[in-house]
Amino acid sequence: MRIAVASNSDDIDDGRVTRLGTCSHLLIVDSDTMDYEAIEIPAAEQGRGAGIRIVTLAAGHGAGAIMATHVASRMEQALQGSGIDLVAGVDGSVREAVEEYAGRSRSEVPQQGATFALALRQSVRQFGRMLPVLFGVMLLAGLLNAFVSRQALEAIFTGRPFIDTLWGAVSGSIFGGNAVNSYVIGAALRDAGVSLFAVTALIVTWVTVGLIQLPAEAAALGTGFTIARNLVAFIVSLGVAMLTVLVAGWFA
Amino acid sequence: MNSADDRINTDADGRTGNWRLAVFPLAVMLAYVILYLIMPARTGRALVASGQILVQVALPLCIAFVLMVVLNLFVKPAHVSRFLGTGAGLRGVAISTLGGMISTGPIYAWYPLLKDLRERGASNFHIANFLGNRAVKPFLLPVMVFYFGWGYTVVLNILLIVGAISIACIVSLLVGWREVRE
Repeated sequence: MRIAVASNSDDIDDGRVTRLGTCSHLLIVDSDTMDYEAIEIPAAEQGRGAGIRIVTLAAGHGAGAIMATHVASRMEQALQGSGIDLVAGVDGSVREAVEEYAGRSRSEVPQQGATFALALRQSVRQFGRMLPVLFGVMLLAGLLNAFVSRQALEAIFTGRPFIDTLWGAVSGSIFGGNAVNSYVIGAALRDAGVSLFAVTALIVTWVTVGLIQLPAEAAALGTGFTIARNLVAFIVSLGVAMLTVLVAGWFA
Repeated sequence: MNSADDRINTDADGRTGNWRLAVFPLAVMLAYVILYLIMPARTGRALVASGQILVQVALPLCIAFVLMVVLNLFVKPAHVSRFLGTGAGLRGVAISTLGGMISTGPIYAWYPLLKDLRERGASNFHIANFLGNRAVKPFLLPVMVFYFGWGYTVVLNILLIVGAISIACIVSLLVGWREVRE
């Protein structure tokens, strides 16, 4: 069985088990022969988002288990049911950790918790992250309701479908975030008299186009890809928004 | 894709600086306090309107939570990420579509994974399709239905999926099926 171990060295004896997100090397060890392959994790790739990259790397090398001193809860959730054992709380040298793991039967390896409990915990965490901003958006929608006059909105959203769609798409591209926030703001705007064309364009571009995220996306996926994707997404969003309102109105 | 909740810093293992989540609502509450001192009656109306929104959306949010648990129970991001890099044809389209839909949390947390998947063979089409389908959130459908009705929700989400695939096709034509090293 191949076991991936987060390590601070490329040597199985010198290397100590480390956190998943900060390891300098990932050692892929064959637990039967103790042969191993050391994969260097460049310093630039450590830190933010490193954990999921390393898990992907380990899975790509056919690892049946991943060992580290600490593993984020989202990694536990992501690997549940994947056939890969995630073993956290491991200490000592890489060789000792692998030998200890190999000496146990698979069923004796500490599990990360029941599947349902993990799903519940993951959902609570996801919801917990979403709710504070959603609460702020609801408060903001109340302010919009009480302080922004219909006349002021009509000065921007004139009722002409294409222009309204365009302004809605521009707004959604600048702002953005969790999709549910766009529903709340969109509904508040619609109730204030803004056309559904603008509201739909805002909802569509809220998630698909990200002006503020452009540098991060470009750094990861390349400038050409990022500019092309966001530009095309903006244009396609206009069509999706207009078509949605027309088709939904037709069915209604 | 780019709001306050998506710009939260995470440390090496993805843990969140949770206090940052409170910055935005606290800023809005501060605005309420200032406005109340200037225009108390109108600010009171704003607060009532916010309370009404909160009460109205509570049930759809509860349903959304249940759906989220079900999705987390049965759909594993690890499965998707494992196959995204190797998927081809309709299977690849389906996997990148599903991956985008079930991806949660800040988008930048997914960039390293997408970069890695691309280096291991995922095409620009699959990456673009994944990002486009982040607009479709199955567990939030009850909230959308509550605000905009069934017809609108169904049409919009179908067109969002079609739109994401269209974007992926056009981006592939513009920058190539595989990564262009820069």
